[in-house]
Amino acid sequence: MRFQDVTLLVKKILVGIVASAVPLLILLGGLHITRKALTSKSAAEQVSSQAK
Amino acid sequence: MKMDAEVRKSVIRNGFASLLIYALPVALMFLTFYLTGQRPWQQTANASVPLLRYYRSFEHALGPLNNYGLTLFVFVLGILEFSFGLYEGRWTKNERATDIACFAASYIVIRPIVTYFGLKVLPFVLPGLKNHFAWVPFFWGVFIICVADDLTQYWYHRLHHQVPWLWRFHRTHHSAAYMGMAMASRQNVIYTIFFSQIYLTAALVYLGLGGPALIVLGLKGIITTLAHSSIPWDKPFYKYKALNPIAWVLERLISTPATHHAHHADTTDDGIGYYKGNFGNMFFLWDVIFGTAHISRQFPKSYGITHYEGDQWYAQLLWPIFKSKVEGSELAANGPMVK
Repeated sequence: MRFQDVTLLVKKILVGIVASAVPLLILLGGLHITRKALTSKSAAEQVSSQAK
Repeated sequence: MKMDAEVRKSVIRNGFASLLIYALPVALMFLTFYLTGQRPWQQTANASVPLLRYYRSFEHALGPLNNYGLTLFVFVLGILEFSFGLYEGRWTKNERATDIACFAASYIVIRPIVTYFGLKVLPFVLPGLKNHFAWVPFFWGVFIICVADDLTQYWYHRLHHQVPWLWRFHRTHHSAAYMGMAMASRQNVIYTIFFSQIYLTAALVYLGLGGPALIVLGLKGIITTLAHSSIPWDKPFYKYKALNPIAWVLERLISTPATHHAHHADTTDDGIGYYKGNFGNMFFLWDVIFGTAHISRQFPKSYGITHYEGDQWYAQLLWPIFKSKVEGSELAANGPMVK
């Protein structure tokens, strides 16, 4: 194995990491936002109904 | 050797579109919860122990089926292929060694690495998030993993064809002059170790989507093995007119022997073979969406790489650690990047 092979492997691993990390971040963010947004929405609805 | 400008443009354009597709299942789930008032995480908080117990028992029941069931399925398919003589005497000693070494490596090397990743790396990278999204309903979990896992594999596969310096890591999968169940695992070990979708799905399992992942991976194993198999199970759907509408849907939705065999053809000149596209693994839909699909409902006459001269099995398995002794081969020490 030569130095250029090591460089190639590093580049390949980086491509692999990006290909895994981008969808993971989208899903993590999406699921987190779903829970947070809908929880605060139901909490706000509860508060407004109690105020009435 | 540089990437073609047109190809580069389409990769960037399709890459951005993919970001939206990844988000689609979660966006639809959000919309459903918003409209129906469902809040499954509240149920999880109230009854977290029984729900997790249900998930664990489900995983226990399906886990062995997924591991051993799929292996058994591959063996039975292999026996059928041999019984019908579908390798047609092209399974030479070197090809046999390559197929068996790749098949064994996928079990001996990959599983311990993924297990280590799940048990040691993920708790370090995503601390405190184990089962954090176990509240995701089963149906939505399956939808999320179907898109996440298979679209990621589509990209991983496509990039290895369209980025010249990545091609040699994938070449082993295309070098055989035959099709068969062994082709599904015939890969260079570096290609397999860094399969992006494996780590993405492992992370989703860690986050609590273990049950849905088992279903999707089992289904995917069956579809991809059958797409590589030399048993053309899809032919009746093209032959009988009554089945044609089903064929129309099937061949656009999932990888079939006809579309995937076209991807393994050694030429595109006959209007049947299409190694420049048909990259989908479980779903063919990605090819349809991104314009890389070619559907002819016919099977190529020959497979493989026209300039292939039987590189040694160890070079095919472990390039660039070991090089081919075949002069001028893409896997040789001073071989071209793409021949």
